[in-house]
Amino acid sequence: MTFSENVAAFTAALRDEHGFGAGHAATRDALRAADILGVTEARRLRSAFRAVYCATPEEVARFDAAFDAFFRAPRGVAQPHLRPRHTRPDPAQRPRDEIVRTTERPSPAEMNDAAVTWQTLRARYSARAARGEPPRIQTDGLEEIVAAAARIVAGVRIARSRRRTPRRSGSRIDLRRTLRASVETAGEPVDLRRTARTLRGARFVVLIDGSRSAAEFAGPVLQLAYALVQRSRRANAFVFSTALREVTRALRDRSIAGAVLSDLGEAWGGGTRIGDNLAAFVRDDGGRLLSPETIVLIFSDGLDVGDLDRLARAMRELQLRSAAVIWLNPHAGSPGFTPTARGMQTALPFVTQLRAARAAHDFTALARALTRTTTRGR
Amino acid sequence: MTEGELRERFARHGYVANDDFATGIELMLALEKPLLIEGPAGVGKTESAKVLAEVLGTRLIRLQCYEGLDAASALYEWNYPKQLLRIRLTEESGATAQAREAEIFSEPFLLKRPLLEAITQERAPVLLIDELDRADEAFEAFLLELLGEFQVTIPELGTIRARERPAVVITSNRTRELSDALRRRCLYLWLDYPTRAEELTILRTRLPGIDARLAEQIARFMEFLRGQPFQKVPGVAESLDWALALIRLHRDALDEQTLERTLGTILKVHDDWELLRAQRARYEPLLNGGAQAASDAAPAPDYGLGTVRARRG
Repeated sequence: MTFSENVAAFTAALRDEHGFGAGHAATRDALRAADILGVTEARRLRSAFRAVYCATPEEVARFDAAFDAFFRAPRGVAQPHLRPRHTRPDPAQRPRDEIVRTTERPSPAEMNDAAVTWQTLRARYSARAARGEPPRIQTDGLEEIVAAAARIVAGVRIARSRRRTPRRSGSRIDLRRTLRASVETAGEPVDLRRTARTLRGARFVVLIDGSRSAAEFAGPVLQLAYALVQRSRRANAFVFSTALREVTRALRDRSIAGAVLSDLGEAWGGGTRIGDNLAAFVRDDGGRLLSPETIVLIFSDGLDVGDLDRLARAMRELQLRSAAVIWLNPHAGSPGFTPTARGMQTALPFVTQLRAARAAHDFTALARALTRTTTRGR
Repeated sequence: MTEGELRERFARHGYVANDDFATGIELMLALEKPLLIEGPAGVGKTESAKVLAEVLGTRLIRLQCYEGLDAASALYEWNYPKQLLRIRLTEESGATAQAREAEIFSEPFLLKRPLLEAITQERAPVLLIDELDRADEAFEAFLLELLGEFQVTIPELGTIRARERPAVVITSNRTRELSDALRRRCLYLWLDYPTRAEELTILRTRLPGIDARLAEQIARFMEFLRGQPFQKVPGVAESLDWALALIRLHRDALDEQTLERTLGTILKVHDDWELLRAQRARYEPLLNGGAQAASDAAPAPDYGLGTVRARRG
């Protein structure tokens, strides 16, 4: 195998095994880069290939391991072991209903902390508690939810953009078009053209509680997160259990519909630390994602065993730095529900709306409510 | 220019370049592709483009992106007052409407904005597109087209093609994800906070007169600060400000009181101050009082023979 074939194989390996978006153009650039720099020094070649192949910080983080695995195979092996192509698991081949539901849906009374047994408590306290199944983006009812998300994205207009568009009743004169028109009236700007500011869409952040008590009900809200990320470039999604993990990139890939969100680690199926995770979100991602144009959607049952003080502080911060905080409670739709869980009660003063998140029609209602409330200042 | 030369030249202009950075620059010049630089705030993304222009001995043309930036403010605008005036002055000339229109929409009436400026230079400039994440997607799409062809069509004038392809540096703070199409068109560089050794080199390069022990202490303290969960983690700009402040105050070492007085140069959110004070036990050894850190930082004993200390950087 020649060097160029080797590089092409490396591109394929990055794409198929490591999920990079690199294609033929990257192979060509990598070869040119190697030509320019010379290939004698592994360190420089690695730097160069990193610049060529990577496009995101996540890819940068994964690149070195991929590079080493490919080019630094044990000595004596002339060529890297090429694994068969297309090793990405095919979602269609998996059985559809792996998740066997053994527990019945808890009654609203059980949703209060008093009813929590020591067993579930242990599960929640322990970060090492057995993980549940990784979450799947189900395709049932997905269309309706995507439609609801599209309505939310299109309907919510929060801020006035500084971008201007031509409008008859605009506030500012559009000199360019006015002047153009004035040529025909002997340079007299008779017909004044105007521009107005456009209204801007919102940014969305979805935070999904994947702890064991809530994960079971997270199906629809995961679909919503997928739909929002698909419909808006300014939407980000996170899941959390004992740790927080951003899943925006995974959800942007359309083939995730029907497939499993993998590699979530501590962020799925373990205990609940809502306060810690929200605080971590505010600290690490707040700067780039929170603004007066952000709508924060939190999905959780509010059964928190962490520090409630931290929860209150994080919620206050979220409320201050966003346009609205919407709490989606999986049990909010059921009859006889009262938000009595301690975490829920702590969070409630900072929440703009508490809504149900059981099925697609809940999100259609959410779209209606959001469109109504956020455009009133027009 | 090779990587070694680049590093050396950047250092002469006060910019400490690491391996990845130098390779990235070398490739961007050789492959004529835009370089997309991402990284936390205050690691010198913008500065790098400025220094690149100095190193290449060419002009820096900067386009600062902001929300609502549109093609008119980035590319070109007509000089309306001048046009109005000209229309009035030629009123009696008897020229046809077409001729008069052609006249006022000609090059003398064109105001070049950064992007048009960049592609009409005689000598390839460095074009810095700063904080592209702040502009909206529509602008990004427009930019994509420009970066692909390096030509611009002005309806009244026709197509203008770049004489020399500018070296394009794009920076982003990731407030919004840039599109995949744009990312794939660029070389990518992730610029992180400097390591302690790099920070030390930066301090010495930028502030040649700095006391060796003070520089070492600052670098250690910054390393500690960057590991803390602050709302706003201090960058290189902050550590340089801090060092300058300490030099102005004639301090040659860090102590508790000095730290308190100069905290405003490094931490710019009040909550972060509280957080730091709560960590006092952990940072105290880094200050003057801590004998261990001091001995650690002191230069190796010189037994009259001189000491050679190799420092990576």
